[in-house]
Amino acid sequence: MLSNLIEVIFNHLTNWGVFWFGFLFFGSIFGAILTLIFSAYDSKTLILAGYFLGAIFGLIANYKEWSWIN
Amino acid sequence: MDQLVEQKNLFQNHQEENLDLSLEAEKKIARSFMGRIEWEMIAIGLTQCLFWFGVWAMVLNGFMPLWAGCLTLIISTTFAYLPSHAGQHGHLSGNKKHLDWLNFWVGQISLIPLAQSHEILKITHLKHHAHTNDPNNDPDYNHTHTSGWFKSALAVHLQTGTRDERLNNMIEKWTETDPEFKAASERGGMVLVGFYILQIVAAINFPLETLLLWWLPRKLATSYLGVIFSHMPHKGLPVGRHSDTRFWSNGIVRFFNHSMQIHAMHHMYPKICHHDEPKAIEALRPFMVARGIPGADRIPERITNNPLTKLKTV
Repeated sequence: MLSNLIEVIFNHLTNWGVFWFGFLFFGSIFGAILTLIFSAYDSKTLILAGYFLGAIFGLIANYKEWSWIN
Repeated sequence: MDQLVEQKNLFQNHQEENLDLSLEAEKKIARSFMGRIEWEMIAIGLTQCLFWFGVWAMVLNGFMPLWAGCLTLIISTTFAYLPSHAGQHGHLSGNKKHLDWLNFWVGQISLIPLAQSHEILKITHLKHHAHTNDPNNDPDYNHTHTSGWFKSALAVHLQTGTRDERLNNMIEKWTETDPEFKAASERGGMVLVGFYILQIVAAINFPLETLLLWWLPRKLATSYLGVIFSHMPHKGLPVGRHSDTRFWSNGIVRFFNHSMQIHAMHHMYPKICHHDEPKAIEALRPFMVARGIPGADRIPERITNNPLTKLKTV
């Protein structure tokens, strides 16, 4: 059971690991950078915008096989 | 005075002519440098990792600016690989079997700043030793044999993904044919998933700190390692125990190249500790010259405190 679950996670990350990394890792970083630049605006909106940019970056990176991002 | 120098040279030539250059004699000398615990690497591995956590703590608590932490960790992260490398070759336990655990644990702890698995680096590095410069069996081939150092610095990052088709084929082949390789890669894979999750969690909580204290230093350190540890010692050389690694120099002192100018010694006898290589070279120099190791005829007689910023011209 556990080994099956691990295998499923491994397979998923093999195909989509770069996307999730772009979305969550770089999304957080983009959000923090946006909050620094546009400090006068609502920070929640900027953080969400960061994750949106991260998702796009992750999709492009996954499609182009930019494994160097993680 | 000139007569004295001439006499000394004659004596040295006579000695070299009478030297037993057989493989047995070479091995006997090499063995005298093997087997000790390389405590220096244990100290470097644990200290640089502790330092890494220390810089994180100082930055997060406002005792150090983020940019200073980033610059400091770019340098210290380059020290993260060699202790693992020493563990890969069993130098951290020497010939003390009961201390074998040191090789994995110190190696893995040292690799935290690089977010790498000791076991995966070990199995691929041992294949590199077995098949150095072989395009179909050396995992480091793609980033080693590039037309310039900058290309190598970029290509080394493809090792972790799916774009290096040559490497993918090797891993697939060894996973099917070598059960030990398969088991180690599965254990190492779990460690990599752990680092993957840890980095995401760290980025969600401390985004800019994670970028500048972890991601960027490890990317730059990986490029440095690709160029200094693989490209410079092996580029353009053929397969063969005495021809696959060169002595080289780039004008920068040995310390900042992590002594990789003398990497040829490591490929000749991987069981000799990194910190014992200078004196081993001094002892084995006639054998290295006789075997035609690239650059061996241009290394100085004394290596111990020599920064080796250049090789002798002959």
